[in-house]
Amino acid sequence: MTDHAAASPPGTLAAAWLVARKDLAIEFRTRTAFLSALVFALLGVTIFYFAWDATAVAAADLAPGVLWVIFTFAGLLGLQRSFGSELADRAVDGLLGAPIAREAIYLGKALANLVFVAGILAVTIPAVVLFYNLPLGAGIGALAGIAALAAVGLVAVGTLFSAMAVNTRMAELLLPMLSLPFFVPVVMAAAQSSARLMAGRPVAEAWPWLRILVAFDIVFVTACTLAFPFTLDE
Amino acid sequence: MTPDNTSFAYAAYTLAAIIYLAYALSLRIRARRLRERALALEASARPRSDRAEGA
Amino acid sequence: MTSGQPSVSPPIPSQRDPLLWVALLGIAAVYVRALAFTPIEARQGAAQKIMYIHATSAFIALYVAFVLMAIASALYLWLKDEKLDRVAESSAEVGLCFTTVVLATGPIWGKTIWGAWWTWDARLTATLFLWFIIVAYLLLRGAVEERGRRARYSAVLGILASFLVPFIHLSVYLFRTLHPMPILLKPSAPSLPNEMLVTFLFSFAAFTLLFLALLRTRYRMATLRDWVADREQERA
Repeated sequence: MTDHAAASPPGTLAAAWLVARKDLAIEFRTRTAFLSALVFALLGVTIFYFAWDATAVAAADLAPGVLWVIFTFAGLLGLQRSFGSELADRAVDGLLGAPIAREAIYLGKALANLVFVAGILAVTIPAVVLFYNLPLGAGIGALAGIAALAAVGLVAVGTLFSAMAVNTRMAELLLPMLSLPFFVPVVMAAAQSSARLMAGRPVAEAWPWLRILVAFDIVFVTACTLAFPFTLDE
Repeated sequence: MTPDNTSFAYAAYTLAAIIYLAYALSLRIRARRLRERALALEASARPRSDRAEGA
Repeated sequence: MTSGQPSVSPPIPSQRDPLLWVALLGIAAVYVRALAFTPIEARQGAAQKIMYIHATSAFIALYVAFVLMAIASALYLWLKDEKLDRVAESSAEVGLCFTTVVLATGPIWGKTIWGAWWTWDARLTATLFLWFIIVAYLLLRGAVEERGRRARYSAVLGILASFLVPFIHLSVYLFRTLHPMPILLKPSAPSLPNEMLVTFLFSFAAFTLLFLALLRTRYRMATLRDWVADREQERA
């Protein structure tokens, strides 16, 4: 990492980017967490296929539900490791000692988580298209857009709760328990809008759901950024 | 034709009463246990009360 | 030291709690009035009386307990006064009790009036998730040992939760309006005859009193608990 003798500390966004790069560099050195989450997602997609009677329900109808459930749980796996690396040897103190805004730490971590989740989705969505025989078309672009919006919401809330959960006795249980209620509007909006778009319905039908998704993202990215400093012990 | 569902009404009222009373009772029990611990602490503090105790 | 005066004598509340007894008597009076002295609604039958408990508890759980928890949480983050944290935790726990009653009595009413134990409409779903969130709030508190951190974490959750509940309500409402659902026999709310209105108001007063009594008891218990924890930590 370059170490300029900077006259002034980095601004919030620049600092966030540095924090994100650090986290992603650590993550991709081993890639264990990412590959595990990826395998989990792919296995989940296939298991869900067999959980339903394929003659009673068309695979294409199942697909949106499966996609967003898997998205949720794979996302949680990614979020679990978000603050875990800071716990060892109190590495978080290094972050806190740096002359950057506390919000930058949160935004950086969230950004790293977003990249992580986006990576998972980049493989999972094509897998769902493949295994569930979804018609390829203009819908894919819209699906990617919805996935991006949903990922932002998931990561915003999940990163904050990950920061809290890591300091508790039952982190792995606490993170899903805190986060899942917050994922409900995201999953609902993503599933409803993507189902309509994949079925070839006009965009106007998906629009109310997309509005909820965007509103959720705006409200919770703001709220979680503002709340994050309160989760730090200083 | 008014349906005869009085048993449902009684069931709900009973269930609500049980939940509220159980909670009130749990508060009582927890408070009592805390009181015992507090009194024990106070009792063990008395012999040492002439020693300055930190805030 | 966050707790203030190093008092040697513990803040033990007295054994007698007249407020709670009065509240419980009030509830008993509501029971008698609702079951024996209020007319039966013609279309729904006696099961309509469940509303005197269910609707009142729901109102208090959502608009009193939960709102108080959210406001106390926000004030705590601003003022850092421990008392506010204790108010938030007490309001959450008592609110959970009330919400449990709502979720327990609602399906009983629904089964006989609608023919279904549960429906995923906006109000029910939001109430169910309120229940989950308060459980998560209390479990979070149980998982954090250090008091200052515990207060901060739960305050953050309390505030975020108050943003979430409207979102859930809105999402499910949208879900319902765009998804044709089987029409359940939902009796329209007739204009209430006087005796029923009086019972509702009476019930509302009694359950509010019960909430306040339980809140105060729970708050005092929290104060004592923190005092004990401080002393025990000093000894350690």
